[in-house]
Amino acid sequence: MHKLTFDGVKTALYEEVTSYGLKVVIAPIENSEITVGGVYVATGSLRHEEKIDKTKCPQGLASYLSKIIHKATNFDVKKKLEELGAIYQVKCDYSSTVYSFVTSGEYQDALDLLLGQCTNFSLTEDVVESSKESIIKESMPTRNDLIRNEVLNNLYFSSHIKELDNGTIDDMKDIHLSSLKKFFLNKYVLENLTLFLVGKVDLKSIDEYLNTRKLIVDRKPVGKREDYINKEEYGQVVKPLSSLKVTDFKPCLALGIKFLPRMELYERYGDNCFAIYQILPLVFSYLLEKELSVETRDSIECELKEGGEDAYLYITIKGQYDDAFIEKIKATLMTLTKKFKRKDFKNLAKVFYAYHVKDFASPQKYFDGLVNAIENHMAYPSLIERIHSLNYKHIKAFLKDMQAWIYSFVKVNYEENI
Amino acid sequence: MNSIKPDHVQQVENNAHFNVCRSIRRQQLVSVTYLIPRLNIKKEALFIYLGMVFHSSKEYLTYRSLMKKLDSLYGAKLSVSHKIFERDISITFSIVATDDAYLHTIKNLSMEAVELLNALINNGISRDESTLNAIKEHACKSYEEYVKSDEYTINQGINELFKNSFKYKEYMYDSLEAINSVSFTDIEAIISELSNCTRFVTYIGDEKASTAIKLKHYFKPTPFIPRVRTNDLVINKVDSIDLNNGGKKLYIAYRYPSINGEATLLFTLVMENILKHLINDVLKLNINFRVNYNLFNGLVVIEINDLVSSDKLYLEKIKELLASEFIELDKSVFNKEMKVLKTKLQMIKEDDEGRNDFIVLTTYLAISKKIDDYLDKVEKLSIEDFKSFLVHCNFIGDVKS
Repeated sequence: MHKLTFDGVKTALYEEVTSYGLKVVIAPIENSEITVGGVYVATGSLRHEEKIDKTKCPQGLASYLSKIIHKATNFDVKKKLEELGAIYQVKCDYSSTVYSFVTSGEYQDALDLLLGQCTNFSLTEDVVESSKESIIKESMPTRNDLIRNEVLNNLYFSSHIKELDNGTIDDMKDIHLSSLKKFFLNKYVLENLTLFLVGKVDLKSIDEYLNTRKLIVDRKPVGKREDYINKEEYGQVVKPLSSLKVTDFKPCLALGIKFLPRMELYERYGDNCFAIYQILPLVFSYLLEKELSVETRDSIECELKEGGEDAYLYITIKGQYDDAFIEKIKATLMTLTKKFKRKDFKNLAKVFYAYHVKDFASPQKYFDGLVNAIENHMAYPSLIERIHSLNYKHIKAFLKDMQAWIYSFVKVNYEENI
Repeated sequence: MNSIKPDHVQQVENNAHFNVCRSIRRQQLVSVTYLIPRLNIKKEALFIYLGMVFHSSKEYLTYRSLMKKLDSLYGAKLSVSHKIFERDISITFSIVATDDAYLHTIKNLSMEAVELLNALINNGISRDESTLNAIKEHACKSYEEYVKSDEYTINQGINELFKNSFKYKEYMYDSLEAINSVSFTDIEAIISELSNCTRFVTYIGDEKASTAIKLKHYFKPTPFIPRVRTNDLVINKVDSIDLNNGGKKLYIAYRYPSINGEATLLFTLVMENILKHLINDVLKLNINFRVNYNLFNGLVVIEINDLVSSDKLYLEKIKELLASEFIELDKSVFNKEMKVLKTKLQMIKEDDEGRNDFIVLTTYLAISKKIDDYLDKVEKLSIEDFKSFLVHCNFIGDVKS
């Protein structure tokens, strides 16, 4: 195995591509008795095609598959993992689906189960149809989903990023065994899979394990794909402001900032772009807290989401505020470089690093970091080290660009009319 | 491989609860828990005092100056949590700071975290009237929102089961009048109570560091005599109550035996999953529910969501199950749950914040604080032990909405 050492964050990663072509990344953590293992599949809820062959790909296909895939023909992978003392986890994001387990016991049998699940399609019509009602029930949008969806519908004209991750009820009703199978055979291919193991891992035994398991079938994508063509308009938004009523939810103000296409930003900033993405939520929380004098730091939540060519910054501010408050936010967004000083950056970079250097001692956080960073083809330790070496001029240039980007507000449960 | 494990180094010193544990998470946690008797204080004043600690302590006069201090400690995380019991309220203050060995700094962050905790708790608050009023205003807003929420209606309904002799989930504030009447005198009474009441002190980090000694010096851990479970709690069996809040929920309340050792605590941790298995896989009811287990009084409330129809049938079947001897419970299901529980316990052992919560909880319950004891026990428990725990329950009542 090829060892990569990261002296800054004091960790090492081991990587290899097995003889049968599976990418493997291993991060042992000293003293931990926990192992987190998982298979990363490079496909998520963001649709890239309308049809594969003649089979329609409704929105929510990836998420639906992730919720049902463990129900194999003869047994339930989730229950089998639990019998081994392992806790099964699934996360379906815009660009990835990650199946994983956490265990304090042996992990090789658990790995067999997960790899088997991600390389063999064994769902039946019966399982798919009989699970539909419960999947639809558990996939209903939460109150937070409804708010985010309103922001995205305000921001985007055509990008699929604005669609609900799970799709609408009609989308879900449209999902059948044929569409799931077509999707699986097309997306769950070797080139899209990476195996991660973090925590208590014995390198020698895992090497033997990987050599003895030839369970991965090299399968190429099948079928003719009718790709979705991105015609998004990046210079404007659908609506700059709207209001929304959500039952049993405290008033808040939601804001989305629409980023330029990924390729354009990558050409301007290279890999630093992804390092800046990591620290931007902290920068905005800090700036808004400072400029708006909100009650507490917890009142502002800020998150950056990426999917395909698109990315957006999603901010929620708890409470009900007047129009002058919104004007103040707009003024801040137009003067980011003036408001965010060199010393502010130095402080935030320091805090960010101190928070994330701990991730390399926590199996779950390290695992989550690795699978998130791989979406941008980076190793998590290297990403954190890159953020540590970012200069103020990098972030200043990015913020200067951002001043011209467009945004949209949603007033949630505000009492007066807009 | 290095042999450092996240062990519990010291448990009790002169009967005082002073816990020192090793961390393997590149951080240090300092924590102090106070157990304040309710008789001596005004509940609302306590929560307003906590607001003052954050927004106007003597040393950090504003919220922003406190945040600035935390940022200078490389983003150390300060948190306060509470539990409201029938006769006491517990408050836990904790600060988690990154281990400075992993940072480019000459600061001793854990020591500074202890100093900060000392400044916030032991040096008092300012007597700034405008901050006090702002905090009271915020508390009023929060109370008004709570009263409008479904949660309030539901809690009120469940309280009806006990004819209000006991509160199912108690909120920080009882009324606007109570909030508005809080004065600096009430807050001074809280501060004085804090210096006298029972407290536990925990340090999780490098067990050789002098930080633990400093923490002990500032906060002086005390012995703790646990209050026994109040078996005198008046529980009235009542008919169903309609809440008419438009929601579709069903609540069933049960009371289980006391937590008197490692085994019973472990059983409460697997109970939800086992009931889910029995209700959904064995009875095939396919319903979505949560089990809220109050470890301190044995009260279990099963909250069933998304009721569509035949709620009477659900209710009868579940009641029947809870009153049965659980013959349908299969050994393999029990063993599976115990194996998963072992992984969860190991996760708590390695997670400093989770471990601190576990230490506080087990101290209240007066049972072992060492997770290794539970890891040993989990291997030895049998399905018969579990069944004999389950059958000792009493049905209390149900609430429909």
